[in-house]
Amino acid sequence: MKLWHWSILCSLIIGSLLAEKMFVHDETHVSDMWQYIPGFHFIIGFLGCFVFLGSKFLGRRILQKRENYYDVD
Amino acid sequence: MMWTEGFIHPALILFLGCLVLPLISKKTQGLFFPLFPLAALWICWNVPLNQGVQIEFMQYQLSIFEVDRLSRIFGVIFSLITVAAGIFASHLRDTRQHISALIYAGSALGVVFAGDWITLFVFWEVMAISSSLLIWTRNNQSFNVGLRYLVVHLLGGSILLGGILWHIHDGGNIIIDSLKSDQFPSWLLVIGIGLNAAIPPLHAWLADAYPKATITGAIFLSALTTKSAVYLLVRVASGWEILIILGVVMAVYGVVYAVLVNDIREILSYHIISQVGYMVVGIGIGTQFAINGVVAHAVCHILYKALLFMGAGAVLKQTGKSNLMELGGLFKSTPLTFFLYMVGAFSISGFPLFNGFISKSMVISAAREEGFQVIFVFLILSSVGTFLHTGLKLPYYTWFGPNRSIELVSTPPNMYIAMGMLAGFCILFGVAPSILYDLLPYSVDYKPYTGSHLVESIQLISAGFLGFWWLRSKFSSEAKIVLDVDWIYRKGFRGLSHSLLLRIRRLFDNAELKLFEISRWLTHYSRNPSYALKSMRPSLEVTGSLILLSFILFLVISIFK
Repeated sequence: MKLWHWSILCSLIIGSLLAEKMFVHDETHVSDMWQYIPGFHFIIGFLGCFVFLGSKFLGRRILQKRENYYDVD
Repeated sequence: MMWTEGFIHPALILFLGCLVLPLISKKTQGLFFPLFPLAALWICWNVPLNQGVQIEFMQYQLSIFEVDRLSRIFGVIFSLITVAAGIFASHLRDTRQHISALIYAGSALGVVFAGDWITLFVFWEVMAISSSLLIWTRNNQSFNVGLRYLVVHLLGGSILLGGILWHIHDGGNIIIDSLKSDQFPSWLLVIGIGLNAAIPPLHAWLADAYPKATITGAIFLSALTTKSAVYLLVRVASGWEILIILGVVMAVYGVVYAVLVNDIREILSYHIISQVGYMVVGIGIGTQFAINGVVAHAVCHILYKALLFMGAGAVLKQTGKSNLMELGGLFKSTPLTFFLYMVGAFSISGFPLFNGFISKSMVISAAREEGFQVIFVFLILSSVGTFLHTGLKLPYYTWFGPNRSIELVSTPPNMYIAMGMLAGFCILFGVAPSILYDLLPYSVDYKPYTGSHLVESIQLISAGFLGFWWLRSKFSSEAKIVLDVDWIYRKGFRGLSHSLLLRIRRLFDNAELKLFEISRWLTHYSRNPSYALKSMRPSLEVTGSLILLSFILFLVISIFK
């Protein structure tokens, strides 16, 4: 990634986190516990990568087999 | 018989195509193919609502062409996707594939417009058989896959038939209507339908079969089977709470498996399970808003998933490869395929201005509004997974990964035209959602482009991208396969038959051999019993022992007497 890619990404992250303060609590009609966690979607998005990495780690050990697994008796 | 207000049943148009296409030369068959679904699309769009055609069959009144807002929108999208897939496949000179696809799409339309269970069942089974032909026609290796696909679907059809018969026997209505979850036949019906919707544990056929289908056949498969089942579940099982749980399991399950697989079309297949999971959750919630979300998401999903399968199919056509491990560095040679694929990837990931943004959010919002807070988090989490694999991993390792100097075959222009058409619809519905919302079964009071929704999406996408970029080397694929529930009938049953049936068979084989031996011995000696004396040459010790035993026996008998 080039510098300008990083710049766009960082602006999106910072901009969206700041914008959340202005928008989310005004417009949302739902009231649940998640709305009180600042940057909730950012946190879920980032942690999600680790969750799926963890699932890959477990899946590799339990579920992955060689490609000819079904062809050999 | 099969028309209403001057409109013929659209399925008949497609079936008519099956009769006409073989009469046309193979060179031009592909050009004529899209005309039939186009005519069906015109009918679905213009046919008046709440009209029905009924015919008498034995003592039943069959409603073979029932049109309401729900069936019409599914009819429209099924016809539209058949036009697009037909254009994508128009370079083919394979009559079998064209005819199979027309029968398949026609029977899917038959399912959508069926007003009664008997009509539905007939079209349901035709759909199963015709769709398996799209797998069989690929090559000899796909024979076993096609057979498994067909057997599983015929099993599902049998469960559905059992449910229909039981339902009617219990005094249930032959007309397709909402089912009560406290009746056993209702469960049979929902299981039969649920198999086609790939609800776990009845889902493994999908990821087993779709990656092995023909390049063009996979487009039809990705659009029709699961979504016709979703349509039926909306009709009969709205508000069944168990579907909320099953749906969220599907949403996460599909994404977790997509991390592990290597074939690009298998990754997309697991994402079908995940995306249909959102729809199943919405059906389980069952409010008007949720059902609108389900239908909107089904329409958008058909469009972007077909586009993604077209992109993956184009890569397979260009390179002859579909394993992520063998692909890489294709961007410079196939940029147009990449950009068109990315429209589908942005759509499925729910980027603003793309159609997934305006449909997936309806189901997620419905879950949140109804207070399903944990379900809401899992749906968000699977959105992250979808973006990670379909939006980042697959395109990164296909177009930007290490360059493997693959020799490319040129792509027929019709493939690009079809992809461009679907990409156009993905963007159109994303930019102007009211076009889609006006077609939904209930009136829509939902605005996707709010500040909060935009902020949430941007946070999710940017965090997902950041996480992927950091961990990208750990997300790379391996040249391995992943075990799923289909292990039970692909390996488990074989193992069971080896361990149980084979041993029993050996026992019977041995008993049979012994019996033959005894009968041969008896035949031989019964001819002339003196052979027995000749052949018996007992040793002196044996003779002595026999005499001794006889003497002891005589003594024992004498004492006790």
